[in-house]
Amino acid sequence: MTAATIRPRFMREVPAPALTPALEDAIARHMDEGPFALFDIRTAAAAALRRIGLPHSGSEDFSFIRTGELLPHLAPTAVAANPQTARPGTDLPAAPATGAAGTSATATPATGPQSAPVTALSAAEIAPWILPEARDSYAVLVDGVYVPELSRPGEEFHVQTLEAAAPPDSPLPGMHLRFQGLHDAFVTGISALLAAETDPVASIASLFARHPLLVRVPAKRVAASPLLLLHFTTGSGRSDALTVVHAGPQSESRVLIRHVSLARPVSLAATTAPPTLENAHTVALIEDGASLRMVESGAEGSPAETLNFRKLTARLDRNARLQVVAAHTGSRLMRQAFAVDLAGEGAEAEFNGAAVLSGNRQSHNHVLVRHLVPHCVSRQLFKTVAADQSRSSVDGTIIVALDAQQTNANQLINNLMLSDEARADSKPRLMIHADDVKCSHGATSGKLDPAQQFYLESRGLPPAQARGLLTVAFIAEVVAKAGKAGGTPDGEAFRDTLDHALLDSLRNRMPMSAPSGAKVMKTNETQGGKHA
Amino acid sequence: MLEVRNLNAHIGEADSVTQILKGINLSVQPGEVHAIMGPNGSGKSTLSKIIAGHPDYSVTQGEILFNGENILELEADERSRKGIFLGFQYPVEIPGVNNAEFLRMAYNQRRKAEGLEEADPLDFEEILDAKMKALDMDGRFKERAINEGFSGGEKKRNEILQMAVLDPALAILDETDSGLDVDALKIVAGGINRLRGPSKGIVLITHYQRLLDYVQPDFVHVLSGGRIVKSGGKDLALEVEKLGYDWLVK
Repeated sequence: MTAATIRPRFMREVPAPALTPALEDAIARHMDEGPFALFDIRTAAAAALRRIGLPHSGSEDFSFIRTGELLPHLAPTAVAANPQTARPGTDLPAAPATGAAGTSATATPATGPQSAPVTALSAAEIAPWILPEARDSYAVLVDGVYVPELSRPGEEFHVQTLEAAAPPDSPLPGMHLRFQGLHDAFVTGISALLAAETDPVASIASLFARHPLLVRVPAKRVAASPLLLLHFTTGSGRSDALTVVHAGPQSESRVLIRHVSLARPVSLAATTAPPTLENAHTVALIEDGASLRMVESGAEGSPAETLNFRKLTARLDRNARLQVVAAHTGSRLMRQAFAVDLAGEGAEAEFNGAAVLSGNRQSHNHVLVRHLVPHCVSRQLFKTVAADQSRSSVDGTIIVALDAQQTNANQLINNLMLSDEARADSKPRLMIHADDVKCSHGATSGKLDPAQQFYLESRGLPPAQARGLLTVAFIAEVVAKAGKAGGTPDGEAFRDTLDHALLDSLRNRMPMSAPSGAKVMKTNETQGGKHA
Repeated sequence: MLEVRNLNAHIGEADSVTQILKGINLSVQPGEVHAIMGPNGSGKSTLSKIIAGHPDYSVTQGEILFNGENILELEADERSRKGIFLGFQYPVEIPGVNNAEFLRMAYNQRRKAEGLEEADPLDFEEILDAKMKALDMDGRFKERAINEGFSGGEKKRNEILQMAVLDPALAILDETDSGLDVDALKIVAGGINRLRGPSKGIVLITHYQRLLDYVQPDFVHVLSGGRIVKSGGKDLALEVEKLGYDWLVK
C-alpha cells in the first residue's frame, strides 16, 4: 500500500464543484506573474486544488463548518481583491537576484518589483509583539509577505523567501526549475506534499502566497533560542501565506508562531467591512533524528473579525520528533488542520490544542495522522472550554498502514461545556490496517464536576473563583506543554501570553452559569494484534 | 456555637425523594468535642454535608444556627468563611489545581472575611511549612495538585492540613480516621487535638471507636435512621464498640 492510497475510505463521495472560470483565471494570472522559481510549487498546489475542488456543504472534511461563510472569500471575487492578482499580469519579470529588494525603512515586500507593496507597518507597531525569548530571532510577515526590513532572523535559523533560494538565472516559463543550493529531493518533497494535499483551503494559501518563506535549520544545529514567526494581517481582505520549515538531520529547534490582526478601521463604517481571511499553510519537513517544537497562538490583536485558517502539513523521517501546541480563543471562524505523515521508523508526533471559546466564537480542528511505517508514535490531546453560544469541533483520523506494525497512536478529545447553548462536536476515528498496534481514542464532553466545585467552595472560595480555578485546571495540562511559565530567562513569555489570553477569555464572561447535569463520557479503546 | 434543631432533610426531586434526616437535634458549645457514631446509611455524612452547605440536599424542616445566626440560607463558601470546616470522607482529586496555591487562596478568603490583610506568597509559605511540619508532611505536597494521586492516608492528612491552615471555629470531620494505619491515625489525631481549645467546637463523625482512643470526646451520639437514638459520654463509644449498634437500633 502506498501513501497515496491511504485515505479514509468511508468518506462520502460527493463530487466537489469544479473551480469557477474566474478562479481558474486568477490562478493563471498568478502563475504568469511569477516569480517563476515558484512555478513547480504553485503547479503542485493548483493541481491539488483542481483535484479536491472547493469545500462545499457535502465535504466530509468541512462537515462542522459553515462553508457558505467561507466560500465568498476563497472564490474569485476575493481572489481578485488580492493586490497582486488585481494587477495586470502582462510583464514577465526575471526572478529576483537576492532575497532583499527593499533598502529603505519602509516595509516593502521581500522580493521582486512585480509585487504590489504590502501595507507598511512600522517597527514601533510590531515591537509589542516580539517575545523576549525571541528578541534576536524573529521574522515578520505582513499579509502573508515576508518583510526582511522588519525582521531579525538571527544566526541559528536560515530565513529567506523560497524564490530567493532559487537560481538567479531562471530559464523560460514552464521549464522545470531547480532550487540552487537546495537538494533536489527537498524541492521534490515540498512539491509532492503540496500535490498530495487534501485540504483545498491550504492549497489556496500555498497557491496564492506571494512570497513563500523558507525556514531552515541546518543539520545538527541545536538552536538555543526559538524562532518567532509574526504573522500580521492589516485588514486588507486576505492574507495567504506559505511557510516551509525544513529541519535538517539531528537538528533541534523551536518555532513560535503568533497571528496578529492590526486592522485599523478607517472609519466607523469599517466595523461592517467584510472580514479578513487569514490563510496560512505551513509545510514542515523533519529529517532523520530532527526535533521540531511549534507553539502557535490564536487570533491576537485588534478584535476585527477574521476568518482564520491554518494548516500544518508535516512529514517526519526516521526518529524525527514533532510537537505542536496551539492555544487560542477562537475567532468568527477558525480552523486548524494538521496532517502528518510518519514516514520514517521511530518517528513521533504530538498535537496539543487548548481553546477557550466564548460569545459566538468558533474553533474547528481537523487532524489526519498517517502511520506509514512501523514503530511510530502519535499523540493528540485537544481540550476545549465552550461557553455562551460558541462552537467547537475536533475531527481527527488516525490511519495505520498495513506495514505500520508496532504503531502506538492515541487521541483524546475533552470538552468542558459551560453553557447549554454551546456546541462541541467530536469525531475521533481510527483506521487500522496493521494487526500489531496499540491505538486508542476517546472523547468526553461534560460540565464542571459539582463535587470538585463543592470541595473548593467548602474551603471558602466564592463560586466564581472555584469555577474559574477548575476551568483553568482543565486546560492547564495543554498550556504547560507550551513551555515553562514565568517569563525569561527560565520561563517563557509566550506561554504566559497564551495563558493570559485564555484566562482573559474566561474572565470576560465570569461569573459562569451554574453547572448542572451529569458528566457524559464516551471512550473507545481499540487494540489489535498479539502485542496489544 | 452550633445549634441543630429538628433538622429534616431529603435528597432528590419530585418522585424520587429520599428522606434522610428525620428531626436531628444537636448542640455544640465552644470547647466541646462531639462524636457522632452510627451504622452505614444512618445519615452521618448527610448531616455533615448539610451543615457545610452541600447543594444536593433540601432541608424541609428545622434550622441550623451558628453563633446564633441561621446559616441555612448561606452558601457553602460563606459558611466556610464564617469558620465552619468540613473534613471530607472522600476528598476529591482536582488535577491542575496546585495544593499550596489553593490553600493560600482559601486562607486569604478567610482573612479577607475577617477584615485582615491577605498573606503574600512568602508569608503564607512560612505558615504552611510550620503546619506541614507539625503533621509530618512532605514538602512535595505543596507542588502537587489537590489530592491528585494521593493515597487514602495522604488525602486525610491533607484535610487536616487544610483545617490547620484555616483554623476554623467549628470543625466537622467525616470519617477522617477511615483508611489510616495506626501511625497516620496518631498524626491525624494530633492535628485534631492541636485545634482543640476553649473557643473551638469539633464534631467527629466515625464508624469505629478507634479514633476516640486518641481524641477524647466530651459527648457521643448514636445516629440511626436519620435520628439521634442515644447520646451520652465517651463511655457510650466503648459500649458501641463492644455491643455493636443492634441494641440501639432495635
